This record gives sequence, C-alpha cells and structure tokens, in this order.
Amino acid sequence: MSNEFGYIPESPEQSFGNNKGIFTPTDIYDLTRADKYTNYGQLELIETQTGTDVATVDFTAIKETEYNVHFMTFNNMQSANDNIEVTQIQLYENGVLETASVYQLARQNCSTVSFAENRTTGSDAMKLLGGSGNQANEKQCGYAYFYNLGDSAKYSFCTFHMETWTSDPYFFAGFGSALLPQASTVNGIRVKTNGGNIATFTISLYGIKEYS
Amino acid sequence: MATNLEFINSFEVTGTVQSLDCDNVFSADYDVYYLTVALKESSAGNDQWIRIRLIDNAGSVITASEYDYAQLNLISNSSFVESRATGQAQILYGGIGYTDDTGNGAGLYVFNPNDSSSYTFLQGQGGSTVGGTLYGTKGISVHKSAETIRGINFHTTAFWGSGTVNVYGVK
Repeated sequence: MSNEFGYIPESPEQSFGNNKGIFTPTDIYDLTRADKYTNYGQLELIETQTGTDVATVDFTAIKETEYNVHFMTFNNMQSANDNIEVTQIQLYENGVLETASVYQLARQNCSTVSFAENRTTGSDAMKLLGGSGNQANEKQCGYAYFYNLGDSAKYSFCTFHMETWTSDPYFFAGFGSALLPQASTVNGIRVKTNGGNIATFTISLYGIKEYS
Repeated sequence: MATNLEFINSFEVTGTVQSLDCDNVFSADYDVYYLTVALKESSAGNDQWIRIRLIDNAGSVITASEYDYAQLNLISNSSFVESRATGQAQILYGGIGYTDDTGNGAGLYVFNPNDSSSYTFLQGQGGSTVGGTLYGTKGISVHKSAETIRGINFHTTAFWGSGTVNVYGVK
C-alpha cells in the first residue's frame, strides 16, 4: 500500500474519523482495507441464513478475528415438533462443536401466564427460549449478542432477549445471559432444537466493528 | 427504524484507574447510542460494580442525586436479585468487572442525551462471572434532569486495570 494519500506530499497519518486530503479510488480501496478510511456503518452483516426443515443451522465463517462483539437476529423461528426449544445455541471451539454440559444460563421468563427464573450451570447448550409450537403463528423471534468469541484468553458470553407465541398458546418471552466458561477461540455458532427439525427460520449474524 | 451503527469513539483503560470518562460522544447527530462495555478489575477480591454517571454540557460529571435505576441480577446457580433505587448519585450498572473471571461483555443503550428538554434514559444488559459462576444483568435507568448530556462516566470503588468502551450512534 502506498504511504501517500490525498495528493499531499507529507503523507499525513490517516485513521478512521480523521482522513485528510483528496482521495483516488485506489487510495480509498487501500485505506479501507487497512481500516483507516472513514466509512460509517459499523453493524456489518456477516451472513443471513433462511430456510425450512433442517436439523441445525451452522455459522462457520463468523470472522471472529475481526469482531469482539457479534449480534444475531432470529425471525420466523418455528419448530417441526410441538413445545420445543427452537433456539438452542452451541459454539464451535477451533472447529470442534462443544456439546458437553458446560454451558451456563440465567434467564428470566416472562409471560401472560407467569414469571419464572431459569438457571443452570451445566447445560449442553445456551437455551434462549422454549415453548415453540408448530401451528400457525406459533413462531419465535429475538436477538442475541455474543462477546469475546475470538479471544482465546476469555470466556464467551451471550446476552439475549427472545419472545414467542407458544404451543399452548400464549405470549412468552425470556431475557438473560449465557456463558461458555472456557477460555478458547470460538469460530462457529450452531442453532438447533432440543427435538426434531427447525421448520422455518431466518437468522442473521452481524459483527460490530471497532477501531482503536 | 434503526438500520445501522456508526462508530463514534473508543475509550481504553490505561494504567490503574477508578474512573473512565467517555466525553464528547453525544451530539445532535443521533438520538440513540449503543455502547459496548468491557472493564476489568486490576486486583483480586474487590468484586465491585461498574457504576455510571453522565457528563453535562460543560464537561462536568453529574454527581447530584438525580438517577433512578432498576436492575435484575441473573445468577446461574441461585435466585435472581433485584437492585433498585431512586434519587441516587450514580447508576448501578451490570457488566461487572471481576478479576477472577476471564473477561465479560455488556451492551448499553442511551436515549435522548442531547435533548435539553428530555430526561436521558438508559438500558443495559451484560454478563460476567464470579468464581466461575455466571452473573447476568439487565437494567433500566434514568437521569431525571432535562438537560443536554455530552458524555458518560464509568467508575468503581475498586480499580480497573484494563478494558474498553466503544460508543456508536444508532442511525
């Protein structure tokens, strides 16, 4: 990459939010690749997956070296079977799916029927919400943030807020935090149910861009 | 509808500190802001909360008893705990920074800080660990004074040795 930008011979130091000069397309291309050109839009879509009747949905190119915080949205989540947890999360550590009962969860359930606490220190997945049905309108939606996935020195945290029209049916929601208490590099995310296929889904994964 | 985030600034803990000012981040450009917060204590055994105050239009940290908050602490091995108070000199915030964990993660939304005719509202959600146990938090808070707010201060009664706060405008 050239050290000169903007036709200014002194080649001023360029950084996000502090660009000086007039830029050629090549300058912009080079600076963008170097994370030194001011482009707004730091919620960056990594991948959207949508479909029907699958056992699992895997995100295996999550760009964990680029983002410290990931954001995932869930829409039109419906299970093939009735009364199912349709948004269970498992993480890939260096390509190996962690399926052991090592995940922790603390979730507050809220519904038009009752409120309850759901907590565990030994779960085989981050269970974001249960109660999904397989009839019309019995779908789940919500979002989750993931922290430190690509940092091998830190645990992987998740915060989330989900809601659904349940199989009973009534309105049901849950928010809370989840944890993979293992200092490891997480490079993939699996979405699954606790029984049967995911009938319909649209799941998007974003990275939240940082600059130092 | 919000469609994207726009990076405003990043603030990093340098040295051993009890306070981190994120000043000159709120402006007329946005009504809503999103912050990622990861702060870590520098010595074992303190286990103190991250607390928040706002910075007024003159650059002063607001220490008056003008804050209300309500927070649910979600713990993975025991009953959840409510933390709530009115007329406080700071906001008790989640995303606790303990030494005995391996990182933490939290997000915070701030609403209407630049609007001189509105209170400033906040929503936070985070996760941390204490002795290997997950401590989640989710809370709401308000600064009950209609004035222009230009920044936010994080502080603790312990000490931080590392950490970063990133501030984004929600476009």
